[in-house]
Amino acid sequence: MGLAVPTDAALARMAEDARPFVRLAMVEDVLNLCRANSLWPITFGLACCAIEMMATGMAKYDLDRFGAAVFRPSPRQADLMILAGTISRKMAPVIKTLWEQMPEPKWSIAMGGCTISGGPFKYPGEYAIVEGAEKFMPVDVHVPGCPPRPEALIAGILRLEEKIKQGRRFGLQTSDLRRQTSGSAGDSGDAGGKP
Amino acid sequence: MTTPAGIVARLEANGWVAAAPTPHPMTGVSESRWIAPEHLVAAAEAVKAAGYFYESMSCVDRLEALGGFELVNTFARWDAPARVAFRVLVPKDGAAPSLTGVYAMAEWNEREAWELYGVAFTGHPNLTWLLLPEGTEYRPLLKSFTAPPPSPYDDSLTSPAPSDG
Amino acid sequence: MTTPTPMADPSALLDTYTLNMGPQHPSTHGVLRLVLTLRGERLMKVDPVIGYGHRGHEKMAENRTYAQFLPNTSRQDYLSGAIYNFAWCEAVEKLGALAVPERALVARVILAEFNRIASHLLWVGAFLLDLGGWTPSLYTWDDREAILFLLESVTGSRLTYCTGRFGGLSRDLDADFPARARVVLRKLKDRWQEYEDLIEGNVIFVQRATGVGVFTKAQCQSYGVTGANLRAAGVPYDVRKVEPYGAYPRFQFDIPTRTESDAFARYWVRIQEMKQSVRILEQALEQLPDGPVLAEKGLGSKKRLRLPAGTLYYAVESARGAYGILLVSEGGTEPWRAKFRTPSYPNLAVLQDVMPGMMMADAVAVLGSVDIIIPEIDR
Repeated sequence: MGLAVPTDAALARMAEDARPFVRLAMVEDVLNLCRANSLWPITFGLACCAIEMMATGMAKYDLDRFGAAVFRPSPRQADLMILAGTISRKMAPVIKTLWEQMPEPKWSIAMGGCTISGGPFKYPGEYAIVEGAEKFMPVDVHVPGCPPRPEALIAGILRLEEKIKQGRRFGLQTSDLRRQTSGSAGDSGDAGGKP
Repeated sequence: MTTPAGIVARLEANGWVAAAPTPHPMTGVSESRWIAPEHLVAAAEAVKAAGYFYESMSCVDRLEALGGFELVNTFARWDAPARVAFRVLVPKDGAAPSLTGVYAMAEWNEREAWELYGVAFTGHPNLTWLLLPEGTEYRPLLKSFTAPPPSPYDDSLTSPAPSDG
Repeated sequence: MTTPTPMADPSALLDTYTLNMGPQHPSTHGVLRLVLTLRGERLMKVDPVIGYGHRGHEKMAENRTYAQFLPNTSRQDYLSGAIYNFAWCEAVEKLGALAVPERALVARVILAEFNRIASHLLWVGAFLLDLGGWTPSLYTWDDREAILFLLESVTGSRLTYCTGRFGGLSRDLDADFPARARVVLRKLKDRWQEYEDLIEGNVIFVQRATGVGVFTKAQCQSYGVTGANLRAAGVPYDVRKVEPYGAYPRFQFDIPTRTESDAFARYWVRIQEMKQSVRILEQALEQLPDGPVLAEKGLGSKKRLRLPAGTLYYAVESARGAYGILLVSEGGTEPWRAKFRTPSYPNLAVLQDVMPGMMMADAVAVLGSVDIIIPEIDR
């Protein structure tokens, strides 16, 4: 014979018993909250964008407010790689090595036009650069500009925080704007829209 | 003797000046002369003894017009607005003498000319790649070079899945 | 302190090891790789490996019209972006015998000198960061932000300016620019004493920088070292004085020099240079003439500028030293060859001679004191 279909009362009792396991998801949420609010970038400047990245860490724009100005020289201690500057063909294998040396969980921000698509150095027949970091490594957030303003980099870091936490840091955020304009749920599953 | 005119006078007295292959004026310098490759080292030693510092060496692709490469060496003074340029025509499969023994900076400039154009330098202690990745086969600054050979970075690779957690 | 024993004995090689510094390193100021051969803490040999920032500027120059190359110019040395941008414009203007109005000449000097101060302020912060001092960088970068705010109001960019055009500037200075500039200059002048107390009053900095990394004049001549490094070796060579260009002959300023040629001397020279730049700026703001800021609108962009055939070598003084452009034209709309003689190129090469024999920590101090920008070495 088959299994008996549990009654509603039995189901309710089972849900009650299972509740401690459901709570594990909240630990993941807390962990994501911690990870998002304490991103440790690797000190890694390639060219001009590196100066704006450093300026973002300095007194006027103060990346420390977001917990993200603990730049670590060693990739083993970092969890965020901000690719700031043009990627030359000689440098690309080095970047790949550094990316692979970073332990999980890790994220990357492509800062500036050069890391997104080659930037101002892309022309027919160019031989020296790699046209964008996504040719050889995954990128989570793209920050356009040449170089992007420090505010733009901060916006990129906040967008990455959203992606990590699947929720907003402040009130109206870019994910809300995307919902309004495109009507789709977006890439980071922000259907919940938790405050 | 240390003025550009004095330098040129010494070059001409020694017979180191070569005929200019083209009437191609050079401005921004006090004096510029074409030097035969075999006399370049002696000319550089004379200029160094006169107190000029090594400013730059540039290689220009003249394969179509003159069948070789033009090397423009500029030297300048610290104490007066004086700049001397020695221009050397290196034939296509020929070699230029290295100035590394006279001015140490020539080492890097000549390495660059070699890797970007393929110009050979005799007497160079370390003629290898400087700016390009080691083992690069092509010479990018030649006029005949229009596009690099295919590389792993040409096709857009699909990004690996972003890390979970 | 004992001097290192010479390497005549081959068994001495057994004590050496090779350490790779870079291309990702907090103190290499960009993507520089130094292959160091060390014996304990002492450097035996330094082999710089460059090219990690090679972006192909010179090939691009041959494939771009003169106007299309303008954005590249400030990205070579992005800390002296305005100076490099104007140098390209001036080289083209010289080869093409183009006129530049008076207001543009003085405005270029103003923007260039503000750029120079911003670059030196950044360097002071970065140099102290290399030596372990975090506080001065916060102050100097903040002062630099005031200058960048000012320059942004004129050019639209904070870092890589592209405001030069052949025959002047793309946009004029606002009517209130001189007043705002004077506010920034007053803020800077109040800071000099603070920096002196904070930095030179720090015994660690003084001990780490004094006597370290001495360049001889022979090395400077052999490599072509220019800029504050040369002036700290006792040679008063500054392209603005020796080969004056633009509106510089109208202004009075001194060339600070020092004879010790160590890291502290280079720091001191750059501080004095900033004060001299403030002096130039005060005179320039006073003497800023009225009039148009561009001789002929659209030259070079719409009209496909063609320059007469010829070769020009044009030199300016950037924040790092003498910057030279060898511009070869064959009469077309694009240069036949544009070679950039960047000051950091010899400034780094000379370290192959200077660093051997030093302790590792001193080597980091010397590398920081020389003020190099890697993308301008690699072009």
